[in-house]
Amino acid sequence: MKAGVPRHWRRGVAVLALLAVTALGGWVAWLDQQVQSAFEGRRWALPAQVYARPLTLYPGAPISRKDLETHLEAVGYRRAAGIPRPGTFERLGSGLRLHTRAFAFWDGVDAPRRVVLAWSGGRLERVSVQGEPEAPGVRIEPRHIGGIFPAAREDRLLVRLQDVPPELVGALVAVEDREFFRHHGVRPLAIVRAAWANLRAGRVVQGGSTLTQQLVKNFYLDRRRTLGRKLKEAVMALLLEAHYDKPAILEAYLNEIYLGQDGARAIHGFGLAARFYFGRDLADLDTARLALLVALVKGPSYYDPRRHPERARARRDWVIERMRADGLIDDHQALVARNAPLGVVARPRRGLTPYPAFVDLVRRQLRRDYRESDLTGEGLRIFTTLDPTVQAAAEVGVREGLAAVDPQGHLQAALLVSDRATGEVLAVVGGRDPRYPGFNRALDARRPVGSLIKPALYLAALEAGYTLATPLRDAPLPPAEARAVGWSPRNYDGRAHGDVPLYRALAHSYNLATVRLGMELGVDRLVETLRRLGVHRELPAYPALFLGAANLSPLEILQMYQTLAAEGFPTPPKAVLGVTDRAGRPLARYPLAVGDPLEAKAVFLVTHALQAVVREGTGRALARWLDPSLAVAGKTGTSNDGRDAWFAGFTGDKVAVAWVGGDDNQATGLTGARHALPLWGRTLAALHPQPLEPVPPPGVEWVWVDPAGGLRADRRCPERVRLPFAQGTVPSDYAPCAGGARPALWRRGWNWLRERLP
Amino acid sequence: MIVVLALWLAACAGGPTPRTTVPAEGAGRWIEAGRSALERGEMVRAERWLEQAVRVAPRDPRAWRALADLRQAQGRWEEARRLRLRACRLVGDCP
Repeated sequence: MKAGVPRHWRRGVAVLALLAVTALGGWVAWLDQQVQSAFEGRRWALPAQVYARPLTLYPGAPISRKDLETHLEAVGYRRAAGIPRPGTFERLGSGLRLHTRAFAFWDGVDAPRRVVLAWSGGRLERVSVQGEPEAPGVRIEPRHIGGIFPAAREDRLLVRLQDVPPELVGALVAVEDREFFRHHGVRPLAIVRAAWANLRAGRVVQGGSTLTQQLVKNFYLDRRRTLGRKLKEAVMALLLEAHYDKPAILEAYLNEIYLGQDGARAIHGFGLAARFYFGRDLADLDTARLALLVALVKGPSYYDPRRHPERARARRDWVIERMRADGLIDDHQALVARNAPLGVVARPRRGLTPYPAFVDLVRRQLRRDYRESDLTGEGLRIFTTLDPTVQAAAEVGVREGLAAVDPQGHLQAALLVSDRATGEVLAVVGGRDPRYPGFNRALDARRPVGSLIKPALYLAALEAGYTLATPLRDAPLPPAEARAVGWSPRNYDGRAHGDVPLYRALAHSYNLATVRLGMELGVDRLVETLRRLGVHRELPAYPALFLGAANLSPLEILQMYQTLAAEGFPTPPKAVLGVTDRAGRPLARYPLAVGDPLEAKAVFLVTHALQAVVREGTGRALARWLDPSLAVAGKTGTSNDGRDAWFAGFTGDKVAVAWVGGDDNQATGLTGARHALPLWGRTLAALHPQPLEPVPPPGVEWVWVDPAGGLRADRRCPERVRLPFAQGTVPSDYAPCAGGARPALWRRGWNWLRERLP
Repeated sequence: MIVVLALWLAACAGGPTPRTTVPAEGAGRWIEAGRSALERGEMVRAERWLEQAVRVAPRDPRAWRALADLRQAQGRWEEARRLRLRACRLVGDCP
């Protein structure tokens, strides 16, 4: 028995050893699989890069030389005498010479061109493209306005090893891992040395990590510093080196390493770091700048050259010294580099994008065609319709408008601007703070639209044969009818205005006349007209809809007014022009498209009434910002209890919608004219809009009428107005003031009575 | 007397003559360039230049007509028809 024990023991130990070796082998195999699959597959989720619209230069383009120079500098062009290479420009008399960079747009690559520009009185007058006398103009690459990020919020600009300056690689190896090209992933001696140094100091003063280990740490592991993790890191580094060669590992390192933070956006890799700190491409950096990037590897936050320039400088100079000591640069080059300033550009726009509301719209429009993972992982390049000038005007309009109408700062706002002809969205402001990437009111605040809905009802009436002069009765509903609909509407001023011509009922936004008109037409007709205007949401088909008891977003209202503005052609608001893959190969274009038009005459007539809103009705206050000769068409909207204020309308070239209200739905006493219109007016005024000059379609004639009864008038009628009519609807009778028969006495008496009865 | 009256009535009925829309300077060059790209069969370039023409001079019916011709060449008949309608509504001469 006793003799058998050791044998059992031996067998047990052998089994345990076998198990341990198997487990270890399994663990290593598992790590190996992890290392390979991550390294072989696509290594990085690349956020989509979003661009504004390209700047197009042509004779007559409304851009000053100063604005062009600002744009050029924003996209990284530099001043250089003689414009020697692409991406340079210089002043020439009162004009500008420009050498454009090659750029991959969504519809093809534009080659570099030399261009001469001349201005005359603030307008670009001449654009001559060298070698292309027939060219109608030239595009300049657009501003980069942000990204569509995966959850990790990592941003990077991939570089290939052959495009990386050898000096950078040399400096990196000299400073971080001198034995890089000789070791197999770990340096046991260095680890022991570092451990000894740390032990003596009682804290971590030295790291023994190779570049490979640093890559593994960044690539596969979390940030904890435990012994187990250290062991795992070492094994993975060995495995990585066993499978891949040094250049592949180095290239991965250059693209992976964390080098800074921009708000919520993490800056990874040297390619993006070059842009982030110096506004240049990596290949364009001098020795001093390359040394600063290498200096940052040790601690991007501690050595942040913007926040801690002295620390950054000391570390940079130390890197330069190591480069000199290793013979990468000579004494003179080292001296020049040490004397160079840090060269960091002012902090670029913060965070993921300065235009979160617009990029949100872009993302949603692209979600119809792309999976979310493609948008956040494939490095797509997205070309949008954003016009930075219009966006800036909208932001100022919202800020100053809100400051004037809401000094306490309780209210929120949203504003959208689009191009009248094409439906291209030029600007989106999603709230009081346009940089805040949270709740996007322009798209997501679905609020009661109030009188903004009325043009749809009046359009339906005009299509059905009503005229702008048709008298509508602005009086309370008969009690029986009010009981039947269970609701008794009132006018904003609390009064009834008797018989009013249709266009005035809209211009002054009379509720009683509108509800009576709605009861005559039926609510289904309103819903159907709204659908043709482009409002596709399911709406409550109750009489309260006549007065806008429907919750719609500012974007949906933009669509509705866009259709009216575009002569009745539904033109969906569009935020994306095209998409390329990350190498610049075209993937998709989103060309201009228009839908089947509404009846031309009715659209023309309702536009005339919307111009009357601004000329004489509830939108009169717009004259404070926009000259009446611009003949703007617009409509105010106010929800019940004054919780939401709206203004929507269009000029000759722009459509815009403004909303003001409280997120908590508690604000009261708001009106479209007093609270939303000022934001709209300020924004459009800054954009110097074109006058609105609707072209009358065939079959429209202009006739003088007496607004009192809607009959024809002549110069004897003091109140006469001239209105457009669809052929066949012109009143044939003359008003009493124009010699027409006066109604019989009993009829006048009955009318008088009728206007005073409920 | 009748002639005077007729003239006076005509003056009244005519309505405000729409201000002639002056095509923006340069729109013509975009249209020309777009049309010659179309003739060469360079559809993408033609689209780019003709859309630019519409942006530069949205009131110029020639731009919309040229874009309609492009759509027709691409075999997109329905869109061509709507764009032609867009052009004629700007002039007020739709059939």
